[in-house]
Amino acid sequence: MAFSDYSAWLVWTLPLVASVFVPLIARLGEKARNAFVIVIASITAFLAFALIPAVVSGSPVYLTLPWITGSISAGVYLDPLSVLFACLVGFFGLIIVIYSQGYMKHEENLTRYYFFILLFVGSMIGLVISDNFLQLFIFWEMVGMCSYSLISFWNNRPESVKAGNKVFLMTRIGDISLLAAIGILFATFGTFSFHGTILAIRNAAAAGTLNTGLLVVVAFLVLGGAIAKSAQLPLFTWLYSAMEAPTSVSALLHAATMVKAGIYLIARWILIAAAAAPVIIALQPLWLPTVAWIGVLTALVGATLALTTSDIKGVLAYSTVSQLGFMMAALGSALTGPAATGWFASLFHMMSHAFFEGLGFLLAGGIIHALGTRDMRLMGGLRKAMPVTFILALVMIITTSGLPPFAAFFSKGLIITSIGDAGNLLQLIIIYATTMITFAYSLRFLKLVFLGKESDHLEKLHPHEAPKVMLVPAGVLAAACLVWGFLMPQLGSFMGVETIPSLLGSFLSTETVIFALILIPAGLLVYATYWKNYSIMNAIRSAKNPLAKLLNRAYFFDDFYERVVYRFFTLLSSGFKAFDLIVLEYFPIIFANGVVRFAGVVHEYFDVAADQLLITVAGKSVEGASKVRALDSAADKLLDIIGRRTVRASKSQRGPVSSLQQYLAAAVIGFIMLVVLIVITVWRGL
Amino acid sequence: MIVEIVSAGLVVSACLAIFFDEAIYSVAALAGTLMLTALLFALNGAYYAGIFQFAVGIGTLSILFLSGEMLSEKPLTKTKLSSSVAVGVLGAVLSLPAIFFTIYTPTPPTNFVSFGDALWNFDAVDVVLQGLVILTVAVGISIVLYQRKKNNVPKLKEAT
Amino acid sequence: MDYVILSMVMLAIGVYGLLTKRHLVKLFISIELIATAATLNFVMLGMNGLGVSQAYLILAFSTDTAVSAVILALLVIVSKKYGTSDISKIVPSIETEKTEESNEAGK
Repeated sequence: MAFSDYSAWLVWTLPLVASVFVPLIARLGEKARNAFVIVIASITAFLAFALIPAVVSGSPVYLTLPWITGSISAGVYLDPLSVLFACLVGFFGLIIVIYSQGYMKHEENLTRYYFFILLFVGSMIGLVISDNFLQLFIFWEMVGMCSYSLISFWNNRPESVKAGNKVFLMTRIGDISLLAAIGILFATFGTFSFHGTILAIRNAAAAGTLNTGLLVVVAFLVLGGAIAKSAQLPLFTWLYSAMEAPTSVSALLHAATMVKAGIYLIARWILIAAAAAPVIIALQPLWLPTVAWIGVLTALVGATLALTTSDIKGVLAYSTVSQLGFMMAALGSALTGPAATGWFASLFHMMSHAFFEGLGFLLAGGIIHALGTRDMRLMGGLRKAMPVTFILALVMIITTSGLPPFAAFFSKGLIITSIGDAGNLLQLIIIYATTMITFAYSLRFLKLVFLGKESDHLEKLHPHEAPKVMLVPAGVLAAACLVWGFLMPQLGSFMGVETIPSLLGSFLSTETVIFALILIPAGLLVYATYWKNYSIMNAIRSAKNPLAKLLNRAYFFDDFYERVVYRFFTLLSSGFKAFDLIVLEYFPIIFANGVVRFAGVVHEYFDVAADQLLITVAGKSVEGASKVRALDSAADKLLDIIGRRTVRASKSQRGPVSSLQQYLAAAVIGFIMLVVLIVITVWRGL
Repeated sequence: MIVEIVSAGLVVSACLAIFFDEAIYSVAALAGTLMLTALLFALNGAYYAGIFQFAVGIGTLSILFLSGEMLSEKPLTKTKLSSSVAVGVLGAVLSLPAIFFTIYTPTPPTNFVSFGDALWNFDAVDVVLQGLVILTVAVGISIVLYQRKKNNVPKLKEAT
Repeated sequence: MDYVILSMVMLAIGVYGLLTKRHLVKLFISIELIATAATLNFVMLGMNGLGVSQAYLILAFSTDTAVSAVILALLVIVSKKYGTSDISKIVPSIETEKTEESNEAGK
């Protein structure tokens, strides 16, 4: 086997297996454990990058291993999409592990932390590199579990535990939808694997037996899974709650990798669906626009919420939601339009977003570490105390806003191009508006945290710069932000997409002009609010403004979930409980009570009747039976006559026969009655 | 012929068994009864039954003789021979219907009647139910008698 | 020769003895007579087929004998305790109210 074959299997099995060894090695000491984790992460990253040469040749490589008999096999599917994601996860795993050395230095239970980090890296790579839906789903669930464990890492804080539960439950809804999709696919095509499904679709399309309606339903169910995992509307509120996790976890899971799983899923699904033309045609009218609209609206919602939150991690969380919306919108425009660059644009932006958002989280981690608070209103003027952080944050902000020459300019521009090509003007307008708001909140972030004079909180604390072990990974990411944009053509050829504009072309396109034009009023607005503190802006921003209220409560999504959905389910379950209680427990008791009461009535009735009957019969029998003694005396007299006995002198009057014999007499009378009745019955029968 | 005589003797000895005043004589008559039934079994071909009846009867009789001796008190009256002869004649008369009448013609078992059939079509259910009713009546009678006795009768006296 | 009638006759004799006699041993003998009548009937009815009725006789009669032994032991105990073997002295009889009343009224 070629080396890439080995690395294809090892790249996900190694972290999974090594995660189990972490507690063992931790017994040797903290340093040993840290070293072990770093080594494993580096090897994983190396293995992931070693997969690149295998895919450059063009056709996807898949290796399978039969696992459970039948149509279930474990396998690895190497094509540019999976290798791209695998490299991303491996690279980020290494970055975060190094960062955690500094950020989590004073924490306890780090063994558990590293165990789950390694488990997560293994599961995520397994997810993107698996070759069948079942394996993908298994890893999907494992990633969800790792996310839950890591979010609730500080498990002595009830908010963390609650947040973990909430995240797990919300993503669970998507899991159900995804499972339904997988089930339908298996029932229709009889195979779990991607390649098998593609072949089956092609064969069915050629034979004319393809059920495109069913495939549209499956597409919607897959979209449901992606909505939950990638925090789209309406299941996006969990991402903000997930900020209870340590910041390194937020960087790894909720900025760079786990939330991209949904994007991966949709991208993979589009690849599968593109196997046959009828499928694309069927998907076009309904599914693709849905994806696009969900993405666009999510982007808008996320951006507006990022503008008004005062939590430093909240800005980053909602920024993630917004950028994920961008990616989803681009995927929605994937198969339409002449250039059809949406698919590529989304993936390109995915990588650049990983870089700048990850960078943002790393910096936020440093800030939180130094200042001990997450509230941005207490910060200000940090650029003097933490200069390196300030510079890196500047890089991040420029990238987020999409200014050239950083990465997001190219990626966001490509997205806008693809949406424009799709032809929906309303979506385009909303996307441009979102870009404005993105710039606005980035600028606000900069101003609130770094610029201006030092706040009182800062003066009390005298914060110091973040340690090098935390700054170096951040620096690496910042460098990637800078460089990544220029790699667009290379990435395009790697992914097998032909129609990408060249770098210069994208720089000089119409989008750039519009882009620049709209950023100016946004910047002015922010300037007016935060630099000049115009009172009119304060009036608009006050809490009494209904718009502000809407934004402050996250568009009331959480309230909706809490009040309506939760109450609905509580009502449903109490209804079931009542049903169970009444029908299955009370009803038999009521029924039995009724029967007992009825039996009591019957008993009384019969008691009286039977008593009377018995008394009458018994009395008569006893009278008769007590005359039995007369039998004996009569027999004696007869015998006297026959035998000519003389009357014996000492023959005393025979006393009464004992009561025992009276009982027996009554029983004999009963028996005779029985015999008579039998005879009558049998006679009648005969 | 022998069978008829044996069965007549059977009835006679049964009548005598309950007639005698002395307990020991009754036991002797019972001995006659049991041996004659064993003979009857053997004459009709039920050899195992005959031998078994003979053997067990001997055992029963030995115990009976023993206990009869222990239990007997001097009877008030002595049985006269003539009355026992009269009873014997009575017994012979009673055995005549058995010799001369038949109400049962033995047929080899042919049909196997299923339980359900027997229960419903052949009215076995009716018989059983009626039997239950009559048994209930009998039990009721005994209960009533017992209650009456509790109210009316003086306590038993024990042997001094 | 009809054994059914024979056993019915013996049954009647046994029942008569059970109802009218007073001596404990005679009561017991009557019970034995009833049992003998029953087993005679059973065995004779089964003579046409297999020898199953004989098997039942063995079973029933042996049980019956065991029961008899126990009954006799009890009878001995009772008679020793009460000093008499007259059942009408051991278990007094019940008079019905009417006869009692008539006796009372008569006296």
